[in-house]
Amino acid sequence: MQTSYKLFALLAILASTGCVKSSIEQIRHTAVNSQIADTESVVILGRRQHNNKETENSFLDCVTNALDDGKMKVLPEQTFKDQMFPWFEPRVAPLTTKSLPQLMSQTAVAERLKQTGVRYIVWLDGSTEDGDKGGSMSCAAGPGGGGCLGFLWWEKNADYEASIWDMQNSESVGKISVDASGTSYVPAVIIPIPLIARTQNAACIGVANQLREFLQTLN
Amino acid sequence: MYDFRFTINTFISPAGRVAVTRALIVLTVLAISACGVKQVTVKDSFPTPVLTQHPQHVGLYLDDNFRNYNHNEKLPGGGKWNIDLGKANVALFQQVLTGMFRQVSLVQAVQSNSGLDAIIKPEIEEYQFSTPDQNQTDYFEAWFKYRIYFYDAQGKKLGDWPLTAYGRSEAQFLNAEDSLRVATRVAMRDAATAMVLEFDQHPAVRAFLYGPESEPAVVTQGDSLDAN
Repeated sequence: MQTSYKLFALLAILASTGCVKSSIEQIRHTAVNSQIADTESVVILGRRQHNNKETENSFLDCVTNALDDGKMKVLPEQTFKDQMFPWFEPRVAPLTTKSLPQLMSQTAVAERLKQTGVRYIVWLDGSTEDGDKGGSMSCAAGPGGGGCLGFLWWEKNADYEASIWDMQNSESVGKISVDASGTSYVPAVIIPIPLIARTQNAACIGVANQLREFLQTLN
Repeated sequence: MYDFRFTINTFISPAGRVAVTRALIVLTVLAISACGVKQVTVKDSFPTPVLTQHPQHVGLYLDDNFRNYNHNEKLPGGGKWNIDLGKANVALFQQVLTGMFRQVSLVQAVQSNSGLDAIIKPEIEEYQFSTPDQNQTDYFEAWFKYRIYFYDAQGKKLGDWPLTAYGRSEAQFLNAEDSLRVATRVAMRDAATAMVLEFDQHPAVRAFLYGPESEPAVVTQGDSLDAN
């Protein structure tokens, strides 16, 4: 009996997920042989300099949590920004590694960075945007009950890029880009059944897996 | 485009009507209370800037207008907002100057012979915000316009300049107050960043910090970092 419940739950979960297709690209700028020591950590920062869309906090949290598996030390974004205040605020945060030597020439900043233990900074840039949508649905309720009839669908496109900076050598060591798109459906014959495509989550898992592979390969 | 319709067609008994009327009254009261004044108080703790401190001892004068600055605004269709900004701004400027100078003392007025090297007095000239309904984005936005007054040890004004700051935050579902609180806090952190970067760009300040015809010693926005 319990097995059939589990099977039903599994089928329900599978059925309630829409389709997502994603492509991931990894570029290595340098052949790095250095190792992350136990005291060193990684921080994931979101780009906040754009005038239109900025990287969502939910995506940043997702990648941070996915990377922070106990094997790799991941410092929370806000903790790092507070410790390095104000040098990673949107107004002044370095956009390229060319700015790093000058920033690190300030003794106080270099010492503080050393105290944080951060060896690699990962800059996340991009967002999830709404795509096409369509369909129609009508719902009605009366004394004898209610129900819906119709079909809705919508698309979401997630496009993110992660740039990995080695703070010890003030250089960019690589880049990971992910492009995911998915269509969600809600067919309704009496009961609406949402089949949600978790586009952003697919992009998050893709970036996190590639980052883990990238940084562990560096070890 | 979506076409989503919801129809209710029900037949209610007289007793049921009384219950429905009562429920509607309760819902109306709840709706009215939800449309009340939205109260926003910004958290009054900020990190100390990571800087090589200037050796001077400066005074910080924060007048009552600054300490009690409150922004009240009624948005068309967006309710009334009351934003308490005084306490957080007091904490912000204390913290920023503590990071910038060897010693900072709060003073009750701009006066001569105070034993200080200089006195700094910030003013909030303007605060503005916009909601996602207004700006047609997914963000709450906040802007500050400050004016920084700079006095020498004798209380003589050496200069004043505007300082503008901007912040935004993703709109949170059913939590407009918290979204605006975060956007305002981001704007205040931006003000602190501008203060650190732009402070020694003003000739009077530069002369005070480094002596006449001296070059600035701290890293500034224009000459070192890619700023937006």
